Amino acid sequence: MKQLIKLAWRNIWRKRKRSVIVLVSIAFAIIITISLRSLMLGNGDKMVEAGVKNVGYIQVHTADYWKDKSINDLLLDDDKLIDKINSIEGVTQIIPRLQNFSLAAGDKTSKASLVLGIDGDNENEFNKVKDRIVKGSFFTSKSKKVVIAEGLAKYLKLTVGDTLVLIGQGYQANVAAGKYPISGIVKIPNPQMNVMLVYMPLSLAQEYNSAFGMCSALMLNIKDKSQTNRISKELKSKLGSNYEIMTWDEMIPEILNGLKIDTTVFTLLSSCLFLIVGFGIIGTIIMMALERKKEFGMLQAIGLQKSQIQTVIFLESLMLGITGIIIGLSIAIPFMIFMYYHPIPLTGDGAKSFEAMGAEPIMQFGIKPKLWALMSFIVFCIMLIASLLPIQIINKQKVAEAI
Amino acid sequence: MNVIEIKNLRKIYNEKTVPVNAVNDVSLSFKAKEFTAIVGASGSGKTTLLNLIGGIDTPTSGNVFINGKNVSELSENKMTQFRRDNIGFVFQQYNLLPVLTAKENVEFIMELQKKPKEEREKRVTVLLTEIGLADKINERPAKLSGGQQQRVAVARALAHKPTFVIADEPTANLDSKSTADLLNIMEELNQKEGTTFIFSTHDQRVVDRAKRVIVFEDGKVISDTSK
Ligand SMILES: Nc1ncnc2c1ncn2[C@@H]1O[C@H](COP(=O)(O)OP(=O)(O)OP(=O)(O)O)[C@@H](O)[C@H]1O
Ligand SMILES: [Mg+2]
Repeated sequence: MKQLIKLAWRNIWRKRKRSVIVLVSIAFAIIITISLRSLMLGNGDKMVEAGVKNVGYIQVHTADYWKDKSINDLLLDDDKLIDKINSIEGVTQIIPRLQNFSLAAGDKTSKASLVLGIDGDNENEFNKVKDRIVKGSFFTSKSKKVVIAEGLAKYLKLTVGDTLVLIGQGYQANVAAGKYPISGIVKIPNPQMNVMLVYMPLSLAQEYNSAFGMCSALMLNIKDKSQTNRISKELKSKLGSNYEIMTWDEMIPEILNGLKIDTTVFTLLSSCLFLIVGFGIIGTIIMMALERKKEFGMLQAIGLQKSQIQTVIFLESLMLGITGIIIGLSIAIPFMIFMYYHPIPLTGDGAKSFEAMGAEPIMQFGIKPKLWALMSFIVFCIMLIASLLPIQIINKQKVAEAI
Repeated sequence: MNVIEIKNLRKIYNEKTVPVNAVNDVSLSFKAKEFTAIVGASGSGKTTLLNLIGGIDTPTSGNVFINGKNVSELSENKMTQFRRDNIGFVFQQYNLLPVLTAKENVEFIMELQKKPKEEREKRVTVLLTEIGLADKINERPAKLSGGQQQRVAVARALAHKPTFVIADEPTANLDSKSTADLLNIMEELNQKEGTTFIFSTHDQRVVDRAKRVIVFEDGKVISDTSK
C-alpha cells in the first residue's frame, strides 16, 4: 500500500501544470461558495437576531390574538401564569407588552400610531430599547410620560417637552384618551415603525386602554435559541388551549422567507459552479488515465493486479481532492474569521434595506463550520465520481491490447 | 528439465469475421538457462507467441505449462500473481515508470512481493552495477538514454529472480552500440543467474548472439536450431 501511495503522489505531480489547475479550481470553488454562503448566513443570522429582538423568542397570547391583534383579546398578567411560565427550564425573562392602535395628534396634525406599553427596564434588558433614544430620556416605569419615534415626532411637529394627544378605542370598547408629555424621542430602524410608534410605561398603557392588569403579549427570552421548540411545546401543554404560544420563526415569516430565497439562489449558483468545476476535474482525471493506458498495461503485465492500479488512480484523485480542499479551506477559513470581525459597512440603498429590517447596515460574514464541511464533502464526492471512469477503463482493459 | 512447455498452442484473432491464425498449432519447449531468439517477418506472430507464453494473453486452444504447471487454467488474478513471481518482462518501450528512479523501478516488483528492504537494496546494487548504471541509481528514466532505460528494464525483469524473462524486440529502438551493450548484459546475466531468456527480434546481429534460434512464419515454427 505504501508503494501505491508513493506512486499516486508522484503521479499527480507528473504534469504539474495540470494538477495545479485542478487544485486551483477546487480551491476556487471552495473559497467562492464558502464566502458567498457565509455572507448570506451571516446577514441572515443578523436579520433573525434583529427580528427576535423585536418579538422575543416566544410569545404567549390569549387564544387567537395574533391574527387580529385586537385590544379585546388580552391576557391577565397574573402571578399564577407567570409562575407557570417561569417553572419551565430555560426561560430567563418574561417581558409583558400591551399594544393598541390610536390616533396621535400634535397641535395641527394627527396620525395613526401604535401605542406600545412596555416595562422599560425589563424590555431594555432584552433589546436595549433605551439605546435608541436620540433626544431627551426614557421614561421610568411609574411616570406618566411617553417616548415617541423620530418620524412620528417630525410629522406631528413635536419634540421633547411637548404634549402628545392620544385617542382611540380601549379594552371592551372603552374610550381611550389622554394627553401625555413627551420625555424622549427614539429612532426606530424600521421606517414604517419610525413614523408610528409610541412607547408608554406598561401601567400607563393599561390605564389608557382601561385594561388594568392586562397585556396583549408576554414576550419570552430564553437561555438557548435551539431550545425554542422544546420550550414552546412545554408551554402549550402547561398552559392549555386558552393560550396561544408562538415561536420567533412563526412571528417573523417575512425574514425567514427572505432567507429561503437566499438558500435557493445559493443552491443554484453553487450547483452551476460545481458543475463547471466538476466537469473540468473529471475531464482532467479521465485524460490522465487515458494517456497512461500503455503504462497500465505494462504494470498489469509485470504483476500489478487491476485492483492495485485502480487503487493508484483512486488515490491520485483523492489526494488531488484533499490537497485542493486543504488549500481552499486554509484560505477561506482565515478569511471568514477576519471578515467576521471586520464586517463591511454599507452605505446608500443597501444600508437602508438593512435598517428597514432593524439590522445594522453591515455585511456580516458568518463562521459556519457545517458549511465548510459540506462544501468540502461536495468536492470530495466530485473527486470520487471523477475516479470512477478510469477505474472502469482498467476493469475492461486487456493487457495484451494495452501494451 | 523443461521450464516452459507449450502444446498445440493456437491463437486466432477475429474468429468470427476475418480469422487470423496468429499462432497456429505450435508446440515448443524451453529448458532452464536457454537463451533463445524468435525471429520472423513482421506479422509472423512473434509478439502473439510471447504474450501467450508470458500469460498476458490467453490462447484460443492449447496449453502453456510453466514448471509443469498448466497456467492456461489460471484465473486472471492468479495469472497476474503468477507473472509477478515467475516471469520477467522487457518490452520495446514504456518499460519503466517515469515517476520512479532507476533504483525504485528495479526494486518495484520485489516491493510488491513485500521482500525486506535489505534484500531489495542488495539486489538493486548488484544489478545496477552489473548493467553499468551504479551512478544513475537515483535518476528518473527521463534522464536516461534509450539504451540505459532498456538496461534498467532488464534489471527490473531480473530483480525478483524469475524463472524466465520474455523480451519482445528489446533492441528495436536502440542504436547498434546500445544493442550490443544490452545483449552483453542479457548474456552475462543469463550465464550468472541462470535465467531463461526468450526474446524476439528482427535484427540479424541480435540473432547471431542467440544460443537457439526459432524462425517463425505465418504463425508456425519453420526452423528451430541450437548452437
Ligand atoms: N489484437 C489483434 N487483433 C487482430 N489481429 C491481430 C491482433 N494482434 C495481432 N494481430 C495479427 O496477428 C498476426 C501476428 O501479429 P504479431 O503482432 O504477433 O506479429 P509480430 O511477428 O510480432 O509482428 P512484428 O514483427 O511487426 O511485431 C498479424 O497478422 C497481426 O495483424
Ligand atoms: Mg511484434
